[in-house]
Formats: sequence, C-alpha cells, structure tokens
Amino acid sequence: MSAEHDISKLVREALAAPKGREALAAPKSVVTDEADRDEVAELDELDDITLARFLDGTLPPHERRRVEAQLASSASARQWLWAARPEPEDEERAPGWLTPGWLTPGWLTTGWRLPALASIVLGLVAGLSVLVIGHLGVLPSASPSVELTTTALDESVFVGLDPELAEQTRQALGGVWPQPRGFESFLGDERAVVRGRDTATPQPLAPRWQTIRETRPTFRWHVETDGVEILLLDDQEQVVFTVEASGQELTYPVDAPALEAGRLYAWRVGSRVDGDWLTSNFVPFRLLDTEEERVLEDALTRAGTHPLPRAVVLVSHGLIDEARALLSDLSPSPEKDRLLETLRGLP
Amino acid sequence: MKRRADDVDARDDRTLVRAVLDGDKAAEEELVRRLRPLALGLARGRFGLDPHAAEEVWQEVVLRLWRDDRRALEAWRGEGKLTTYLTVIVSRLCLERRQRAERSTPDSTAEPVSSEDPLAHASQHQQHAVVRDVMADLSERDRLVLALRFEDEREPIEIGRLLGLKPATARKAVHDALSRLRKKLRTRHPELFQ
Repeated sequence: MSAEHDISKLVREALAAPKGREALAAPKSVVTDEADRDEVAELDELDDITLARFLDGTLPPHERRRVEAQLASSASARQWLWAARPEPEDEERAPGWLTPGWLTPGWLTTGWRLPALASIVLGLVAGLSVLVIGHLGVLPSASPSVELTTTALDESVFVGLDPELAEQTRQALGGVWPQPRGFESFLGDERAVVRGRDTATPQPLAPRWQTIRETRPTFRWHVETDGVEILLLDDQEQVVFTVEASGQELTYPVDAPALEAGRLYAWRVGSRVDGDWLTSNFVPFRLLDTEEERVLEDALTRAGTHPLPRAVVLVSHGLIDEARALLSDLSPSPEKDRLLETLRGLP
Repeated sequence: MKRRADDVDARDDRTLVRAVLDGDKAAEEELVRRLRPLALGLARGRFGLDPHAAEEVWQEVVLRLWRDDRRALEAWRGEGKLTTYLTVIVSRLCLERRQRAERSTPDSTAEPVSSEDPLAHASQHQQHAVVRDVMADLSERDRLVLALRFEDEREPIEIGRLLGLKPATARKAVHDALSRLRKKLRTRHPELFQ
C-alpha cells in the first residue's frame, strides 16, 4: 500500500486496530470488573466543569491542551463530548431530534437521491398546477406584491398549455411557488420509518411534516393501548408541553404554553406496551408565520370559492391536512381523485 | 423587602446561582424551574429515555449540584454557560446509565478470528503500530482531530461543533493534521512511501 495516496485509510485502520497486548487479551465480549473500572476512570479523568468549559471555550490554553490529549486517547470521553455537544447557533439549524446520523450534506447529493427529489418536486408542481388550470374561474388580474421567500414557478410546467389559463395559475399563486420552510431536508426515509413500524409502536398521525395555521392544533395518533404520553419539543429541544392522555386525539389545551408563529416544533407519542416503553419518532410541524399567512390569504382570495383550487393553494403552502379536509366534502370527480392521489404521497 | 417573582425571573444565570449559593430559596426555585425542562428535554430527546428514567436523571442532577453544600454549583463560577454545564452533567449521567444497561446485557459481537495470511497480518499490524507511534508525537489538537475524524467517523461540520470551529476551519484542521502526520511518517519511515 502506498502511504502517499492513502494516508486517511492508513490512519483509520491504525486507529481501529487493537492497541497492543491488553486489547488482545480483553476482547469486547468479555466484560470484567477491571474493564468496568477502566471505562469509568476514562470518564472520571475529565470532570463536568472542565468539559463544560472546554465546550464553552473558556479554558486557558494549557488546560485546553490537556483536555484535548485526554479526549484524543479516550473513545468514551469523546463519546461524552459528543453527547454534550452544543447545538449550532450560527447556521440554519435543524434541531437534533430531526437530524438523524445519516442526514449529512453528502447524503442528499449522493447518487440517485438529488435527481429523484428534484423529479418528485417538479412532478408535484406540474400535477397540482394542471389541476388549478382545469378548475380556476375568472381570477383578478392584479399581480400581488409578494415579499415571502419563494421559489419561482418552473415555467416548463406551462409548456403546451393554454396561455390564458397558465397566466391565471401564475396569478393565483402570485407567480411564485411559496416554499413551505423547514422541511426541505427531511423528505424521505424518516417518514418511511414511521410508516413502516409495526402496529404496536405508537404512531403520530397529525400534524406531521407540514405547516399548520392553528395555534391550538389537534394531535392525532394511533396506538393499541389505552394510555399515552404526548411530548412536544420546540426547535431548541426544550419541552414545551407534555401530558398523559387517553383516546386517539387531543386538542392542544388553552392553558398550555402558546405555540409561536413561524416556529418549528416536533412531537412524539409514547406508550407502555406489554411492559415496554415504546415511543414513536419525533415528527415535525411548523406554524405559518404572519407574513406567510398574509400571502396565503391573498392566494386563497384569488383562488375563489371552489374547493379544488383552494386545496391546491393550501398544499402549495404546506397545509396538507387542511387541504385534505377541504376535499373531503367535495363530490367524487376524477380531479378530486387525482389531487387526493397526490396528497397520499405526502405525509 | 420581599422580592417579586418578576425580579427573580429577570436575573441572569450567574446572579441566580450566586443567590442560590447565598441561600435564597426563591432563587433556588427559579433555578430548578429553568433547568428542569432542559434536563428532561435532553434526557428524553437526545438519549431517548422514558419519562420515569428522565425524571430519575433529573433527580440525580439535583443531587449532584446540591450535595456537599452545593459544591458542584459553586464550581461553575459563572464561567461559560450554565446550560452547557447542565448538558455535560445530564450527558454523563445518561451515558453512565447506558453503560450500566449495556454491561448487564451479554455482548454477542465477539471479534471474529482473522483468516488472513499471518505474515501479511503481521506486516499490517506493524504498519499500524508505526502510524500510531508517529501520531503520538503530533500535537494534542492534531491527535484529537484525527481521532474524531477517523476513529469516531465524525464529519468536519461535527468536529467544528465540538471544537468551536467553523466547518471550513475544521476541514482544514483535519487536512493539516494529516499533512503533518504524512510529513513525519515520510521522514521517519520512508519505506512506507516506496
């Protein structure tokens, strides 16, 4: 092997290899009292306040070097360091409960994932826009002033369509596609994990992976036992609300802390099943901020009273359940079926 | 004069802890009110503990901070953030719980016996020993960065969070540590590069 070209591999293998006779003499599977004491000793070499000061950057240089040396030589101390990691402050952050280990910047751009995601988004835009085109009535022609962060409508979805209808669609959506914020990174596997669980595991049904307008949403879940515990965290991983409940739904109580417009939350449901404590994954939802709500109201006004275009506008803002509820009262039609089919692909 | 609740709320962590150490009961209640949700949120959100276990961890946190005449609380001295200190304590307690649980479960993942050529294995073993030997001469920071990157498989952005570096700086730190290691290896063990 040439070390010139493979230094990373060499380091990785050297660090992973057993480190001398002691390591060979005490394989992982044999846990002795002595091994127990060693692990505790590794943690005890660092005290709480020193690690906290290391993380806060308030240690003097010589002490910092000492801690770095301890961390470099002890995997369990580094495990502790990682467990106590600070949350990022100066970047567009996703809270820890929403950031599974596999979700790295490279994950999305590897292989088929990025093209697949782009296809899904484009397909959704195209499908919903066609539905709007088919059902919008006469719309006001004034172009709205939209300040919300948005993405431009992909003009390719209008190719081959009646120019007048295409223009009406643009106007209904303000010429842009309002981007429900906060969930872009979480499309994909996590939803499948929740869906694919066995039926004994509690499952949060709504709200999840969507935007909502209600400041007192109704939480719905599926669980096969009677009593559950609901835990709601904010985007700082702080407990906002927790309650023991029965049944399959609960409306957020008036005396609970108010949910704030524009913020991301996540909740999970837990239950004791056959003596085991089982919990669902955390599922996120986000409250529309006031600016988004204003844009939504404008778009709904332009969409008129027909449920289909209104549902499309709601979906474009990420209000999936509200769109579903709107469609549920509509008479059966191929268009309704198509939109419902599209919504079925969403969480 | 009796202090109003608003006054207590408005105090920063350092002042609050100072008041607790001076025996102010209202401050003590306020400190518990501030820290408990964070501790429970961490224990449950980051470590997946059930409500009962999370509450036990919180009780241990209180014991740790309050025992020996609040020595652990006094140790904080207002340096850095109180929330970081609490996070470190909660993390230690949760890890210790996890370690105890793992020890009570027999590990079935015994290392497989290698069927490789013994000579090749010996040569590789020697090569690894050489690399570890040279790594020991690197600075503490370089050793830590390499351990985080190549032993713990942390991404540069994660290393940055642990060491207070921007992602680009963390990436450079890994690159520089590797460069220094390569340079030392080249000097002391040129045969590795032939």
